[in-house]
This record gives sequence, structure tokens and C-alpha cells, in this order.
Amino acid sequence: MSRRKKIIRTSVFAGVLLLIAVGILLRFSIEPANYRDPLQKAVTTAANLADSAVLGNENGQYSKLTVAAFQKRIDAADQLLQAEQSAVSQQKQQLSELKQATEEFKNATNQNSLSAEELQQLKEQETTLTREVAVTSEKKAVWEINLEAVEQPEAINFDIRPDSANQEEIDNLLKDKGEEGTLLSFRHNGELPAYAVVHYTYTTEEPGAYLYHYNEDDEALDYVSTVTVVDNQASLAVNEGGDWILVDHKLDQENSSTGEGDTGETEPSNSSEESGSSEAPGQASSGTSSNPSSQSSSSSSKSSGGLRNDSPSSGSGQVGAAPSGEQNSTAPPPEQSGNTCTIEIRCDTILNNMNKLKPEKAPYVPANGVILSRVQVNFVEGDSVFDVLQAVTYDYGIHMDSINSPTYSGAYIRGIGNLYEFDCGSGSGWMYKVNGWFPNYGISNYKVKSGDVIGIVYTCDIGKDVGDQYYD
Amino acid sequence: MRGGFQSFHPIVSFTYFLAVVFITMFSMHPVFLALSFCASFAYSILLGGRGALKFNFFAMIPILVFMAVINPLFSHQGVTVLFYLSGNPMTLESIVYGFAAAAMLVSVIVWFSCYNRIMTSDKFIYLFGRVLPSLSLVLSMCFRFVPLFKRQFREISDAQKGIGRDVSQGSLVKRARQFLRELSILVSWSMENSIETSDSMRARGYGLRGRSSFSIFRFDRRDGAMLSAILLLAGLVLIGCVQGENNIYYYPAIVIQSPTFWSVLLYLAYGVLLSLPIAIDIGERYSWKSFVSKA
Repeated sequence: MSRRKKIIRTSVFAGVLLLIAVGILLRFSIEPANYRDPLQKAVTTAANLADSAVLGNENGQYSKLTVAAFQKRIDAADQLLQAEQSAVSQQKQQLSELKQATEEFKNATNQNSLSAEELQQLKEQETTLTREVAVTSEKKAVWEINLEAVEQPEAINFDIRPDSANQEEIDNLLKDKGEEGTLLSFRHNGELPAYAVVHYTYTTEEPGAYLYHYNEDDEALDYVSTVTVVDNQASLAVNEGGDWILVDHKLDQENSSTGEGDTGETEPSNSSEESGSSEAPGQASSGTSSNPSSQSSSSSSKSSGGLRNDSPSSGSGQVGAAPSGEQNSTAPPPEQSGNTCTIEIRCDTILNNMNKLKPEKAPYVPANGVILSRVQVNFVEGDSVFDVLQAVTYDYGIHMDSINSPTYSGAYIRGIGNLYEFDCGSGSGWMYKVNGWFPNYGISNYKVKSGDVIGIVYTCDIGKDVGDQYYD
Repeated sequence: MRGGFQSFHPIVSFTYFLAVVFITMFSMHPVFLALSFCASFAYSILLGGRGALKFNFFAMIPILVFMAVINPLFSHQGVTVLFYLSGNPMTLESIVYGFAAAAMLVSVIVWFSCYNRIMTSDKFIYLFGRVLPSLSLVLSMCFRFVPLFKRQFREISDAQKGIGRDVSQGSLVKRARQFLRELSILVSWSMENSIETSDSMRARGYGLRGRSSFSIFRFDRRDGAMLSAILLLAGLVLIGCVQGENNIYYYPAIVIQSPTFWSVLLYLAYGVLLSLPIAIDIGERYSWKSFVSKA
């Protein structure tokens, strides 16, 4: 055979082999076991960024509230890291949110400021300073400062945002009173050089509105003044930066009627930073009030700290329901969206058969026999019990070993939490039940229905000790 | 090379390999594995030179790596999940276990390659010809089966080439046909050969009662000392193994006993046992050289 022919033959053979190898590799998907390390890295980077931020009212410096909001985001991620156990999907979400927040923070320096020199120049030329700033995409605020009243020219940051680092506390305070308010977060640090009048689009049926200032030290809303509303324009006089709130009714009146027509309602959609930090308490309050099943899961031992109880972000990641941005206190309870079922993983039977258990497996049997206490998870139509189990074990970092078995035309669970079949006698292994019934077919063949109660249980006696009636 | 460990009485070599392979096969302890692995490699290279080196590094090391990679694909036990591959956990423990199992396998293979060089079939038949005549003959025939076939095939091939039928020439069909022809020649030869062998052995009265056998092996004091040393060391190690000093759990988490005085002593004994033939061979070479330089 000629040399060239040989080379061609070899290269064709190698190419085919390579194609097969690539094909096999593409069929595999690689996911990390958890996102702790990258999250830790992101937190460190973000914390360094926050620490090195220069506070001030000049352009290019950072507003106190911007940094505080960012810090809150970091704290939330850090809390998840410190938590003993955390869901992988939550870590992933925190990581992406934190990364986004970090990128946003890099560009979140003051853009709308007037330096002291510029103010001095203006003062020499004019008597009033007028500046228009966009608060939201639709709404604008107009600043008016009487320059003659300015004694000591200082830099002014004109930025006004509809969101704030203290939003969560403010929302709670307003909620306690049964009121809704419009938050105007002035990004100026400290006192303004003079009183400023800010005109802001504000619609109300009432003759006027009331202006409150959020006091960070007391965590309370301080009443400042009434605000006249003329032609849907509220004019508020402010003398310092921080969070100012417009409310239709005076708060101490305990007036329960909600502010109708209050279009200036806080809009969570354009603030990923705030919504993330307000997620946990908002979720907790909505969960306990509206959903008894989620309450029972939150009271169980497993889910502590930053753990998701009824978070919709569970499941194989294909569950697209409700990113945390919606989980504001104003958002509907997340349980209403999508299909949910509950799942728990138990191995109680081992506790009664400890003498049969392999000695090296003893440390992996939980004292109460619960590997995963009952949790509510979302699933996609058509998911089998196996899909749900796989998603939930991945999410909670629980080890699960399955093989594809033709006997069950699908997956066969060999071990969960490092407890394997035959670890506790010859009749031991994992079984699944749905609503108390043990299906007599493979776990991949049961399609989950909404509201199903799935139990994955370990039997030491081919199902007799967990309630399978098959052998009766 | 004549001399060295090879020149000991067959019972000594056989006992040695039996003990070493047995202990290697039944201990997954990393220290035991590492000792056995290194000693087997060193001894095979000492015996086989360049060829053994090539075999060890181009056949054995790839097996080692391959098994370490392949094991986690099938075994998902273990508490340290590194990542998920298509939804199945890949654990550190199963990778380590695959590596350990491969090290054990490779050591045993390499020890057997050493065994084949030391325990020639005449030695084996000398040892077992009386006790198990037919079995030892069959075994020794089995051991030389593949090398014999290879040699005979080459002979047939050359002969065919000599009459103008070259297996490396012509179209694919032609070459395949020639190869099959040579193969059929080989098979018929081997059948004939086996009948001839059995006839020949029968004619010499192989396995009959009272048949004496020619032996060039003499059990002298050196063999006695060596045998007792091997038995002592192997016994010590075996006692330690029975006591569980070589115990290790790879699943679910790697659990290993911390070394004690007794276990360190055991490692030492095992190390000495494994390096006995290496030490003897090297010592003999050294003493031979020193004799030469004196003269």
C-alpha cells in the first residue's frame, strides 16, 4: 500500500473516531456540584468593590444609598454561603444576580451631579437653579433651588430613584399602617446646601399628600410636612438626601383605605438589587399567611436559614416560574404558578434494623430517618417521579445514584445519600410511593400530577415494612 | 541473566510469588498498593530490561489511567461530589477507588510477568509433576501456548512467502484469503502437535507411579534461609492483614486507620518482602563486579 493511501486512511479513521468522541461528549452535560466556590469568589470581589467605593456627591463618586443597596445584595449572598445547607439553584441564582449587581454597581456612580464650583458659578449668574431628572422611565422630577439661599456652595447629586436599600423596611412600615406610598430615594449624601423644591408627577384623589422622611437610625418614618398637589404635580421641599416618601393619608390616623389611583407605586421590575434583598422576608410573610403546606415545611428540621421552602426556582432548572425579582411583597404568592408536588426522602426503617446495616454506612443514616423532609417543588408537565427526585436531590446536594435499567424501562435508584440497596439486609432498597400508593412499575414511568405527595422510602424488607401491599 | 533470585529452588520462587500475589490481591490499602506497585515495576524492569519498561509504561500505565477514568462513570458512590455528569454524581471516592483497583490489577499483572520469567515451565513441572501430573502438564502447555503459536505462525508465514504467497501483498480479498489459509495451516498443525505431544509424553511414561524425574534443583542451606525469610515476612504481613491493618473503606467516604507502630512495622516487613528478589539480584551483580575488579 502506498504511503499516501496509508496516511489518508489513518486520517479518515482518526476523524471518524474524533467525531464519535465529540458526539458522545456532547450527549453528556456537566454541572458543578454546587456554586459555593464561585459564589464565594463573587462575594469577595463585590465586597472589595463596595469597600473601595468613594462616597460623595461629585460625579464619579458613589451615593451612600447605592453602596448600601449593593452591600445588602452582598450580605444576602454571604448569608447563603454561611448557611449550613443551601439549595444549589439558589446559589446559582444568587451568583448570577450578584454578578449582575456587581456589573451594574461598577457603572452606578453619580452621573447627575453638580460640583461646588459649578454651583458657585451658577450662583453668580442666576437666582434659581432648575434641573430635570428622570426618576422612572415615564416619570420625571424637577428640582428647583433658590440659589440666593445657598450660603456654602457644595456638590449636589440630583439623582432620584424609585428604589432604595431601605425599601424593604419602608414597605413594611407602610404596610403596618395599611398605606401605600411613593418612594423617592434621593441619592444625595447628607444635607443639601439649601432647601430644594422638587416637583414630581403625583396623582391623588385627596387634596394633598403627606411627606415622610425615612430615618435610618430609628428605622421609622418621620413626618415632615404636607404636600400640595396641583395639576398632578406634587411639590416637596427637601433639605437633605435619603428616602422621602409621599403618602396619601397621614400615617397616625390609622386610615385603612388604600390609596387608590396611586400610580407611583414602587416598581420592583427595574431594580434587581432591591428585589433580591427583600426577597427573604417578603417570601416568608406571604408564605405563612397564604399557604399552610409551605408553613409545615418551613417548620421542619431541614430547611433552615437561606433554604428555600416553597421557592418556585426548584426543580430541574427547567422550571422557569417566578424569578426572585417578582418576589416582592407586592408580588402574588409564588405557589399559584405552575405545577407543584411535594416530595420527601426517608429511611426510618433502617433505624429498626441497625443490626443488619453495614457498619461503614452507619454514619450516613440520619438520627430521625429523614434524609429530606417534605418539600414543595415545581415540575414541568410530563415530568416523572424520577425527574423530580433527580432535580430535588441535585438542588439539595443529596447524593443519588441511579442506573438505567431495562427491567423498569427507565431509572432504577441504587442509592440515595450513600445508602444503597442491600446495605441493610438482602431485602433492602429504595421504593417510591405517590399519595400512599406504591406503583408496581418503574420510577421513570409515573408522570407526576399537580398536588401529588411523593415519598421516597427505604425498605429493609422488600416493601413490607413501608406499607407496600403488593406482598399481602 | 543466570543466578540471582532465579537460581533459587523452585519452591522458594513459587512460595514467594504466591505470597506476593495473594497479599497484593487482597489489600486495597494505599501503602500496600504503592509498595507492591513500585516493587513489581522495579523487578520486572530489572528482569526484562527495555522490553519490560516499554510494556509497563505503554500498556500498564494507560490501563491505570483508563480504569481511574472509567470507574466513576459506573460507580457513583461517595460523599465528595465533584460534579454532575448527565445528572449522575461523579465522586472523588470512586475516582480514587478506580485508581486503587487499577493499581492492584496492574501490580498483579506485572507480578505475573515476573513470575513467568522466573518460574519456567520445567520448574513448575518439577514442583507439581508428581502431585498433579496432568494438571501441571496442561498448565505448562497453556502457558507456552500463545508464544508457541506466534512462533509457528511466523514460520508458516515465512514458508508461504517463500512460495510466493505473501500475506502483505495484493488486494484486501486476496490478503484475507491468504491469511485464512495460513490460519488453517496453523490450526491443523496445532491439533497434530497436541496429539504428538500426548503420544510422546505417554511413551515416556509421564505420570506413572514410581517414575523418577531428572532434577537439576537442589534445596540447599541458602534456599532454606530464603524460604524461611519469605515465610516469616509473609506470615507477619498476613497476620497484620487478618488483624485489619490493611483495611480501608473507599465508600462512602475514604476511611483509613492512622498509622501505629505496629502498622509501620507491617509496612516495613511488606516492603522487605517485596524487595527481596530485587535486593538479591542487585547484590549479586554488585558482588560479581567487585570480584571482577579485584582480579
